[in-house]
Amino acid sequence: MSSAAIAIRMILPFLLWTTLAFVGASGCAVSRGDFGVPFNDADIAAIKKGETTQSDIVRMFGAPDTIIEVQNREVFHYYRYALKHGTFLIFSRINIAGDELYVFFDQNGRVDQVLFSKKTDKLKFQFWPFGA
Amino acid sequence: MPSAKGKSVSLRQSVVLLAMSLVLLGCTPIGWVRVSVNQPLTPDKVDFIVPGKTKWEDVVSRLGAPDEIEEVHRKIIADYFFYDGRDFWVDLGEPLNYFVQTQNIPHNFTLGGREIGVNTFEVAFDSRQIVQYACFVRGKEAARYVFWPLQAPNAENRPSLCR
Repeated sequence: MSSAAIAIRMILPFLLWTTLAFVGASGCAVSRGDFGVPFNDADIAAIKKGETTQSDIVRMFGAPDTIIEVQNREVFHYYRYALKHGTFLIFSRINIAGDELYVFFDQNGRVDQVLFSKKTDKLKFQFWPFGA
Repeated sequence: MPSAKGKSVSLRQSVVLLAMSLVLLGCTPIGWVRVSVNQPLTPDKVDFIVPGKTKWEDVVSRLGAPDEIEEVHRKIIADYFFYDGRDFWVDLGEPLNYFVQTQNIPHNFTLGGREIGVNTFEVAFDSRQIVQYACFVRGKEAARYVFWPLQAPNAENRPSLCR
């Protein structure tokens, strides 16, 4: 048997298997998941430093997800997560991001500082699992 | 008041693992899965931070709200999370299905790996809210697709993890 024939006999099963794997897995899927509901931008803008109280914050956003204490200041932490998933044949990618809202209070229970970052609006549907 | 750090981290890690597991439910003979949590902070985005000078307000206004804040002995620790999970598998026994009757014979032989890289950026502030240190955690290099599961990852060799 020639070397070319041997090579073909070795390569052919691999090619066949790869093709069948692609065909067998053929299909695509796009899905999303949410943990919590999005923050309302108007609610964030309505928070006034030195004026808004803890009671106001709870009325606007509900009970905090966590409460922490930082340098004798009480901090309410709210968060939500979003997930976007894409599958194409044998490639899948899942992107997850979270929105974080921290409200720092002074000793009198009024808002001292607000930190808010919204990362979920930049979340993309992707399927290609390589690269950045 | 106790910190919520442990609870928060485990929640995020669970989300990554759960997401990877869910994809595996529709298992194919070969597959690549990537799970990313947040966008990574790159060194050029944090090079404005100078330990001993930069203040809390500057950091949160440039980088946004941290994913986690905690206090340790009057110091504020702010973490910006990034996880990069990569999953690869290949079932080398799958081709047998196409050549012989394998219904009653165990014939799966799957190789692969599930690796999660961590590139969290942590900034510590002293009691005056001035940056004490700002570093990436170790673990970014763990994010890779692995074919051969018997090989452990190499030690990370990044020139500098800190500002």
